[in-house]
Amino acid sequence: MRIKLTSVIVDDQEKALRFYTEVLGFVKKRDIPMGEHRWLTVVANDERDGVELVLEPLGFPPARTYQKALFDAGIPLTAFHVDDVEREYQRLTQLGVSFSIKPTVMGPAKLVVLNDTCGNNIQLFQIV
Amino acid sequence: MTYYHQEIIRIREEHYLKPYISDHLSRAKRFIDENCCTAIDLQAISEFSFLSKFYLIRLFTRQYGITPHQYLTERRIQAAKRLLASQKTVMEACYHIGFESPNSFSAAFRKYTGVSPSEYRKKQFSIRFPQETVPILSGTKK
Repeated sequence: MRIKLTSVIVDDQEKALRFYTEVLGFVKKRDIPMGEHRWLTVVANDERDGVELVLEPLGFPPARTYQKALFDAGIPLTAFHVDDVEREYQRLTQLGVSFSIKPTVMGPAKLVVLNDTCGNNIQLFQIV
Repeated sequence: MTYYHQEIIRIREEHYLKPYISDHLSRAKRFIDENCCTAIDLQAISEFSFLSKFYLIRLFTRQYGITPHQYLTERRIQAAKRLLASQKTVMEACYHIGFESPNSFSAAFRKYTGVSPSEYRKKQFSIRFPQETVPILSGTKK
């Protein structure tokens, strides 16, 4: 048994693909038409054979309630590791990304929380 | 301020080590990161981080969830994976990352990755050169 996939639920797959590739810097791995939606995954640019992130459509209405509750509480849906939180914060701020938590040290971790424009808070962290 | 932000602040104040202690431990971790392939030991890490060996082990484990020795081994195995992926031999990788014997290297590698160094190296080779190209590259024919 292996962990090959994880997912974020997104309100618009095309918008999510643009944000996760053009802004965050991931790379599209698979894009398979599935009727109304797509099987759409991205991977880290420097780990292209690593875990795939599924940009999962909000096809199940209760999922929207779950997503909104997390978002309103500022809770990240998931977290991505970066080498330098401060550098990513500066880069993404210049690209217009909004943050609910600016660079904050928490024990061995430094973190920020950003709005992915698709209904989610996403945490970026580094271990210092 | 969001609920999550408030919780982060609360948890940090109630459960994490004080920043000045955390800084010593970050210093220890950086020392391991930068010197993991040399012959460093607990004494050297302790001196560099200005913490006694006793407190270093106790506090490092509290902050990072593993002992300094486990972290050092983890970093060495990560370095070994890069070497094996670049087709260095198991022996070359073993000595390059500071292990004293191939047996202890193999045992540690298997513990951290789930496979032996030679299996890992072979797998990396098969990813770079899929099965059908291997006979051509190695000069053998079926």
